[in-house]
Parts: sequence; C-alpha cells; structure tokens
Amino acid sequence: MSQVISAKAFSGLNGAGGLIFGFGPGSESGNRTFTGLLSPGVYTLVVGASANGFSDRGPETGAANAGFAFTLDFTPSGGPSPTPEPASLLLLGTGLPAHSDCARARRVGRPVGNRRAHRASHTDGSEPSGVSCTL
Amino acid sequence: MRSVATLAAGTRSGASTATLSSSYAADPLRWFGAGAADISFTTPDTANYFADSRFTVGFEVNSPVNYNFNESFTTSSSLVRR
Repeated sequence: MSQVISAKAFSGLNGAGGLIFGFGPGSESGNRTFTGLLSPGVYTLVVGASANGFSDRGPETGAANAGFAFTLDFTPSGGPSPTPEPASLLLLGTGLPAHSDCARARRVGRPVGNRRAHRASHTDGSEPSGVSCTL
Repeated sequence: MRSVATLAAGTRSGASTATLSSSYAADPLRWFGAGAADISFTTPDTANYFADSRFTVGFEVNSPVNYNFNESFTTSSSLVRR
C-alpha cells in the first residue's frame, strides 16, 4: 500500500558551458528573478510544471495543481548610447540652418505663417536651405 | 511546447489536464509564457494520474545581451482518505 501526491515546478537556462540558472523541480510556491549577461552562443530555456498522484490504498480523493508564468526580457548589452552617432550629427547640422532661416524670416517680416509660401521660397534657389520648418 | 496528461487503467473517476500559452512574436526581446498541470481523482481503490506542462525553447544570441528572467510558481496538493 502506497501513496504519492505531488505538484512541482521547474525552470532552467542552459548554455554551452552548462546550467546558467535553474530552479527545482520543487514544490515551493513563489517568485524568483534571475539576471545576467548572455554572450553569443546557443541556449535552451525550459520552464514547466508537473502534477502526479498515485494511490493503491483507496478509497481516496486527491488533487494536485501546479502552475507557472514567466517573462524573459532581453536588452542589448551597454544599452542606448548617449553619444550622437554620425547620422544624428548630420541631422542636427541640417536642422540648425533651417531654424536660423526661419528666425531670419521672422525678423525680416516675411510671411512665414504661410508654409506653402515659405517652402516655395526655398525651391526657387533664392534661399540656402531646402529644409522646411514648422511655424 | 509540450503538454502531457495521462491516467492509468483501474482509476474510477478523475481528470488530468495540461495547458500552455506563450507569446514573443510581438516583441522578440520580450517573451512570456504560462502553463499549468492539474490532476484530480476520486477512487475506491487505485489511482494513478500524471500531468506535465513545459516550454523548451532553443535560441541563439548573436551579440551580448542582458537578460531578466522572472518566474512565478504556484503549487498545491491534497490527498484525503474517505
């Protein structure tokens, strides 16, 4: 005569060097967090739960429930660079003349509130910038 | 993903279920998964139930990345002699 009733959960991340993190199988409910850095390579993530019940001594009523939920978030190592890249610098460089052009337009009393007229003035070759501005 | 539920001959009444859901298509840098394995039975003599629910995901990292893995487990079990 024997009996077994169990509910277990488990998780693990494996890489070429072996286990990176893992839990269980265990019957403890709770929350866990694992963080770290993954270098280039191949990995396997396993997350699961199992429930098992056996009895030959009846009559009996049994139940076992195991559930899990997880999130796995990746962020590039180093994160966003605070240093403007060459493409960003180029955009800044083209934006400044446009701004000064608009400011000059305001100073000389040109009808800058009319965007169509302003753009037209840039396409007739009389202005140095081809960038339109929102006024 | 794999979910398995079995019961053995000789049981009188009961159920075993395994469910899974997942999502990572919307954002390949953010994965989500959930699953459950449940059994229940009432027997006058012999019971043998099993349920298993699991994700097995293989993936390749091409440049260094930081990871943050959060998991939540809930388990419970009971066996009552009638």
